[in-house]
Amino acid sequence: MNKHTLNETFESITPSLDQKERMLKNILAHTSHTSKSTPKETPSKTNYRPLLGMAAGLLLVIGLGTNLDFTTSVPPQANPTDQPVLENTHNVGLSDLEILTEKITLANTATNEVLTTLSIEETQELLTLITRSTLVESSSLDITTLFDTASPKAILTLICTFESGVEINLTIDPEHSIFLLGSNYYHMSDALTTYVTNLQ
Amino acid sequence: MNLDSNYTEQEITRLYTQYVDMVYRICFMLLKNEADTEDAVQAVFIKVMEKDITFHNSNHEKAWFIVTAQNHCKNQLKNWWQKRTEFQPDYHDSIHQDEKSELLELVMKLPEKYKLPIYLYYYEGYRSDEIAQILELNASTLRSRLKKGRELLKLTLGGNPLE
Repeated sequence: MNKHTLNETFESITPSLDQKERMLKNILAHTSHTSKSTPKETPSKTNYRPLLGMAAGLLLVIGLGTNLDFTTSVPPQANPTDQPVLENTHNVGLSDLEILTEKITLANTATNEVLTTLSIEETQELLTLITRSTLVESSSLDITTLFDTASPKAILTLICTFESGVEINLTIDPEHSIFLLGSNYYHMSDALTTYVTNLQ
Repeated sequence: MNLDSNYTEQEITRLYTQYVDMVYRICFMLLKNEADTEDAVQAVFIKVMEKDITFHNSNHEKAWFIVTAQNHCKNQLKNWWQKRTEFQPDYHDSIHQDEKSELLELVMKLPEKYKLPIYLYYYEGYRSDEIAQILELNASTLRSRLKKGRELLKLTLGGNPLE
């Protein structure tokens, strides 16, 4: 390797024209909201990035359908704070993940049959795969609105559908300002399905 | 040059055009994926407006973008999910297909503390004492990081030294 090769390598790390235009558009859009007299801490998408980890970290139950598609059998609850969402629920917070000593239960929510449990490493890998998957839709809810209007104590269920057809039922706690929408969901297709297949 | 937080579109566009590639590279090298890099790049340029930055000269301007990009990415890397993100060249459209090389992967897998010095020295053309000043490192520390970074790239590739 020589200096020229190394510089070519650095040169190859370049945003595409589309990316450049998109980023500039977002930045310029921000200028209209920013003024010297009224400094405004408008959160960028980046500010939600740590919360994305929390969102994944607060995964409570993943329901498995018979054809390996994730399905949900958890109906919206009228008063979700009064009762647990599911029997096999395990609440995992972000801080807990670093020192997690228990396991997440992977269950068929239709039958409540426990399929397997995930170790710390498996949990983190699964959560990583989830957060990299392409999010096609998420319950048709605007998450920001959802958290603005939700009861602080409410536990909400979010159904995420990914490109692979995988549907994940996340039960999340809005007290932790969960944020599940964003550009982070991309390019993963069937990785999650493959992972679950391997688990079985 | 005195730029206040009431940046005009023209001013922002000038800064963006001048530094977007550099900021993008720094962020991408540290964050290792496009989505987070895009967010980071936007955040860096938004900070210019929000922080009411006064640049003394073009060198200061460029150094500010380098340091801010680095600091922003370091903050992002504090969360557990980011720390576990691995570089996956197949997922990055901005990496040209014919350049998805072993070398790029090696650069991306360099420990964080070596990446930026190597980039600033070889690509941006800064002297080692300038890099030390920008990154607020001891000059000897910076030189040893450059040396170690070179060694890692050279040894892993089994090729010739850079210099």
